Amino acid sequence: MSDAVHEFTLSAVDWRPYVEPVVLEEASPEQLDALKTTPSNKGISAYALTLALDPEMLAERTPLFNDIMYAPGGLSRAERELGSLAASVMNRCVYCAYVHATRFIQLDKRPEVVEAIYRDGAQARLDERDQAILDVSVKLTRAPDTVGSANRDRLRAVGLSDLEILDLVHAVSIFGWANRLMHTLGEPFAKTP
Amino acid sequence: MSYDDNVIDRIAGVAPGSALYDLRGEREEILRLSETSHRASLSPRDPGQLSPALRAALAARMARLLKDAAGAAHYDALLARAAPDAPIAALADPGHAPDDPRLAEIIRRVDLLTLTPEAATREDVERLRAAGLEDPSIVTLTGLVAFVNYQLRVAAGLRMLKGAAPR
Repeated sequence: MSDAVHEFTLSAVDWRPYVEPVVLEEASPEQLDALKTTPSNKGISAYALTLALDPEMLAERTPLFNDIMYAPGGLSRAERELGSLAASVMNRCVYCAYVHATRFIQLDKRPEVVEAIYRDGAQARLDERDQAILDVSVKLTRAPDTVGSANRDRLRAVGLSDLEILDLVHAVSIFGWANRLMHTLGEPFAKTP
Repeated sequence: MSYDDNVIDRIAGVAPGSALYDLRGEREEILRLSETSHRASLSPRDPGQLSPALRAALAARMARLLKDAAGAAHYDALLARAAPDAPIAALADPGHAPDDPRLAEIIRRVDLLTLTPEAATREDVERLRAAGLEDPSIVTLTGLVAFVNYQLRVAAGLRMLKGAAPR
């Protein structure tokens, strides 16, 4: 459709599916449980209603996603968003990139990091710690068999603890999942002001 | 579910009692939900149009596409337990192109989303519909591919933490 957005953006976008999502009023008890809601709730996204077509997967996925992105301790919220953003840019999930670029900027206050990744992708030049995070995120996204001890050693050298590295692995990997849903089952479109 | 027998740690070769094993314990909820997601994706209560044997064969194929031998061995074993017909079992080999048009479209999606997800378009979904997949099955197939791609990346990251050399 004409308002579809296929370039990386920081302007508000929404998402619509290529398939027919669950109609909330017609949802099964299992679908409602997976959506953690009732038919009176109107705030359910088209994305959640699309994933509710497989409620068994959705019921496990939602808390897993939240734990990976928000569990206390370990890697900072901003650096989890940076890993998620790197994966989303590699996989060209424009909607995912918009959401996580926006969150990164809210948390970290450095829009120039997003600008560099949007513009140069895997070739973006960042400061040492961000660069180590970007580089391993790109490798894990594109070819997971290519990450190895050299990447771990570099992450340790720029100051990441092993728990922080584990959190980064999770944040990148969960976007190996999310990007493959959101970019392939629908498309972003410009939100009307 | 036993903490000591989860699929990701088995694929990654995380030994009980190792430092990495203890580190994993600090994110036990992620470990648990990754395992329940494995069950929901590979051995669901209601498999619908996608049989457990087909799912296991596709997962084994993805593991080979991602050059994860331990992942392929896990899914080969799961496939063997599902007693697959020959045309389904053959899908575990990425070099195999099925004659059946519906299976061919399923394989096309598995390979596309595993290797070049950035190239996916609306037309890819329309092709699955034309091949007879209902929308819930399209979401399930996509979710299966997405989950396995998650799982094998976590396993690769754990091997990195162990200090394994890349292949």
